[in-house]
Amino acid sequence: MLPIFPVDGTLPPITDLLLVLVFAFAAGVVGAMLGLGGGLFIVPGLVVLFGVDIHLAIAASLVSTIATSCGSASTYVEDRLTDLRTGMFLETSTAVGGLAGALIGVTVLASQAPVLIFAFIPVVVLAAVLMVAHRPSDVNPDPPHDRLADRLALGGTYTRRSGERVPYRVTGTFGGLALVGFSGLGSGLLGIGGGLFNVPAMHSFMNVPMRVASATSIFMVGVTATAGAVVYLFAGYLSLLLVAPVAIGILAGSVAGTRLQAKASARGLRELFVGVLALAAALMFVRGMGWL
Amino acid sequence: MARTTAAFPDVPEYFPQLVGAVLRGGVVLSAILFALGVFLAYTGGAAIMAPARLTGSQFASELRSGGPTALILGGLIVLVLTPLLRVVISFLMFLRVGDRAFSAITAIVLAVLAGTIVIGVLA
Repeated sequence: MLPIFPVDGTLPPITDLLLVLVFAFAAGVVGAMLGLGGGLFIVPGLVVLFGVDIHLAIAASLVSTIATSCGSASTYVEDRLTDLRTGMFLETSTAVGGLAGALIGVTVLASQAPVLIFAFIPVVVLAAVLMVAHRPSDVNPDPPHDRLADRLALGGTYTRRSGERVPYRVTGTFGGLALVGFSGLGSGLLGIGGGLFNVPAMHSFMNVPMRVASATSIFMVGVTATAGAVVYLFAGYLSLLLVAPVAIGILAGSVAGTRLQAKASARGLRELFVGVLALAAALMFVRGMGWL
Repeated sequence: MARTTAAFPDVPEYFPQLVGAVLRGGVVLSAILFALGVFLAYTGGAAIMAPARLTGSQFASELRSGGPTALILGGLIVLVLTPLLRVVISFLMFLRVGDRAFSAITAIVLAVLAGTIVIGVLA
């Protein structure tokens, strides 16, 4: 039987702390390789493997999301891969969603841990479906005009690594705002980052090139997770001894995962992802039913 | 190198570098504080604050106490303030160059984040 991580402030055996660190590192590697952050894996892992209360697991995941977002976004922003205009515009909606989700989590669902555990399962399944179904498509050279996007001059020219220049004009701002707001809600409620829905919202819906959408999502989730993390902090759900190893582990893992990503095949990555998610959903179900 | 030109024409060239530096500085500092706090907790054998609802003054006294709890809590605060600082800098930059639309957009994000902290402190 795996250790139960103590949350009353007493120090767990150093081996337990190292186990959490190693697990968070693995979640960070997989999360970064898939461009999702570690939250989708760290929350079920902490709940099922380490017996952590789901609220504390969500709070730790939100904090580590801020860390990985800031770490990765700093590089992408300096490299000019982030679409700062579209990202800042969409943050208005994800921040509100993140705040709302966290407030629901610490009030209505404060004593409803099983509801949160079961809520995870459809999200995880949806993530798997999105990942398999989502085929990066080309940018539409002439999308329908969107008044707000035109007014804010959202879009630009994306230069591929090959040197090919792809001009893109953003469209579908209202649908995009709604989708990333939903993504923020998921982030605040379940601690799952939000890249999962941000990227399809920007790429498939708003006509942002795939790589730019990814870099922009990483930039945005820092703000989303901050709104959520502050709520959990003040509601008393932050376990300092859990947050520190989880954040350090995921941060280090995401640095390693980003390097590995370049070497892995896209198909192999998707299979890895679906496998890990199926496992996460099954474990959460077992936990939610109280069988473990 | 893959890149996008979507940027702010009126804002100085160094803006993305500044944003990147703020984000990296914040995350590195908080990771150091986290690691130091955990290290000190294990070498000194001190207990760490249990998860609990804190009032503003309890918060401040935990921070002033020094020791592992203060270090990890400090790392947490640095981390939470990092995206906030990035939004503040962007807002001031847009204000300075007279970009009204993006001043308003960043002001909304800032209001939500600041509102979250205010709600937390009051509740």
